[in-house]
Amino acid sequence: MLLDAACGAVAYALIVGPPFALPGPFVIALSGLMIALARLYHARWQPTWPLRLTVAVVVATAGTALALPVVAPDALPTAGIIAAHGAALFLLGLSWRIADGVRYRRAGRRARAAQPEPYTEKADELSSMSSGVLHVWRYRHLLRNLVGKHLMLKYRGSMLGFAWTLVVPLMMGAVYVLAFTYVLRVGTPRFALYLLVGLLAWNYFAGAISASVDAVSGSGAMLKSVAFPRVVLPLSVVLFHLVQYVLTTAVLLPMLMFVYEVPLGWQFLALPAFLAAQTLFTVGMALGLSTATAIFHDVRHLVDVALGIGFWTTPIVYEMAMVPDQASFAVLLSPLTAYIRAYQDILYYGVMPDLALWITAGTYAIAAFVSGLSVFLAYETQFSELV
Amino acid sequence: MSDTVVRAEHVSKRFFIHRNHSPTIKERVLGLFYERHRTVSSAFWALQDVSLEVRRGESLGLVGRNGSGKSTLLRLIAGIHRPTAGRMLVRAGTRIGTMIELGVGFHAELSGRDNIYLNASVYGLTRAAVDRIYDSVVDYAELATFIHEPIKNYSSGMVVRLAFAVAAHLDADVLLLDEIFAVGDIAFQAKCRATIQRFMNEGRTIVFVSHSAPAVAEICARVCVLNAGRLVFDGPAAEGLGVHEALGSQSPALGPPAP
Repeated sequence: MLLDAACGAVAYALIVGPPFALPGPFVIALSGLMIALARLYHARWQPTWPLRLTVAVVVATAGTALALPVVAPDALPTAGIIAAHGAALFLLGLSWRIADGVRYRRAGRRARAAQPEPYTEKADELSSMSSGVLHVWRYRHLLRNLVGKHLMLKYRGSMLGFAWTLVVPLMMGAVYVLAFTYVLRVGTPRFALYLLVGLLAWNYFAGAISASVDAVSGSGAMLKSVAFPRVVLPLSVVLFHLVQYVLTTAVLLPMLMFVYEVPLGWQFLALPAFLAAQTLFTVGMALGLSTATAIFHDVRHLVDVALGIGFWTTPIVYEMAMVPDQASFAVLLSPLTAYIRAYQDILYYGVMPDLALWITAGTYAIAAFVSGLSVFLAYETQFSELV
Repeated sequence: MSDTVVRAEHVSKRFFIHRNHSPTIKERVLGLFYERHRTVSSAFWALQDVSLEVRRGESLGLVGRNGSGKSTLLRLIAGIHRPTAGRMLVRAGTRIGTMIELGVGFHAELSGRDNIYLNASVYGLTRAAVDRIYDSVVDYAELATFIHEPIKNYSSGMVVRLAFAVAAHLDADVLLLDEIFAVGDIAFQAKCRATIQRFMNEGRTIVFVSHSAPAVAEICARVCVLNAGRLVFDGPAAEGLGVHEALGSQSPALGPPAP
């Protein structure tokens, strides 16, 4: 707890302090308060380290963002500052946690070498994070078959087959283009290209999330009759949507680039990196939300509402430059903003995404993945009783 | 001692039975204000202080009345549930084959072939491993002509045959079988029995849950009798089935089904 606070205070003072010349005590008190809040949260639930840290970071970041305009109205932090201090705080905690884990494993190995224990507790095999990942690797064929199953079920017996995946976003896009160029007159040049870049990425995220909330609670029979790493259930749903997104983009993108003459350049190399980060982020959210839905069945309604809000707080149909200053926080903190802005930078503006986007995208991805996975693993052994 | 593969040390398992419970945030919030939205949970001990050891190559029968905790014990060995108290230990490196339910992950729209791959991978088989056993599975299920049809067009007997065929090809050291004798016609049942006989001859360990005394007597040399979550007998099959029968004639004291 003390270490938590010290860790948070140091990171805050280092990152937020100098650029804005903020009163140091204020920063330290604020981060201490936020981490205390996170600690309260932790005391009521299962102790899971990374989750606690992530909550501390998220709460502290949001808290600072909200408090700054009041305390220091002139020093509105940019996205880069918010991202950088969140990232530093989080990575500090994460590396500390990893060091802890390594030390623990090494001690365990020494103990086993001194006195070999021929038995393992079957139900305990899955509970640590590193062994969780190893188990998924052992069950990679199950993962592959589940993704294959989703794909086969989707396209079997449909008239247009894979074409549906192209037709739906194109029709949605057409409606938005009509509404925004002729009715609302946004005036963004090449609006169809701008829109599709954001819309496809958003559809990937929203589709994967709303399908994966039921991944655990909808698999009762499987959970009750076989022991396998449950992580593959939400993971397979996200990967299925990833495959769809990649295929759709692979077909539509060259077409759009030809029509709109998007300049090919070095910035395209950043595309896979942001896609991987977005996928990691989506997997983390899917893990956390599928756990929450297994415990509280009405989480899926909240998710639907949140996705509806998320669509409009993310710069998909409007440009970041159109957002008034007062509202820019909501948009910048919207989790998918970093990924979608990066795609727009690469494909629409034809520039390399700036450092702030890299940091934000990476932090959100690692934070969501680590906390989602730790929540999931904390409840994994109870799924067979909950559903 | 050294050839013990599964070892239960004072294992207990508690489930919660919820009344007027719908697991939602809404109910949780309303429960703060209104009595009737509050969840009433009562604990139910499905297993209490069960200790037993299963040795390599042994075939052990678990018998007991409905709700006595047989299936719960099987799930604890499989690692599906975690014990509330005590320890359930499995020798390191032991592969456990679970046949608690047949056809896990089967999907009606998929072909028999796809379902074989999907079902086998749920048990942790790699694609290469399924390639190796595939022909043998299809032969065993006697479904060669229908294997590319979606299984929604199969009869229920065919689906069960396919499911059992996959289960029969799992290469496991310990097999956990739950009431799987009621599958298929008489000829297929004989085949199932022959398969289990083969497992025993190959020196695999079998833990077998059944209500059928003749089936247990045929397969198992040793029997454990469970009654209301407690282990009441552990010993030779003939004697154990006698204990089971004696319990059956007493007045019923059924627990609720385990979740």
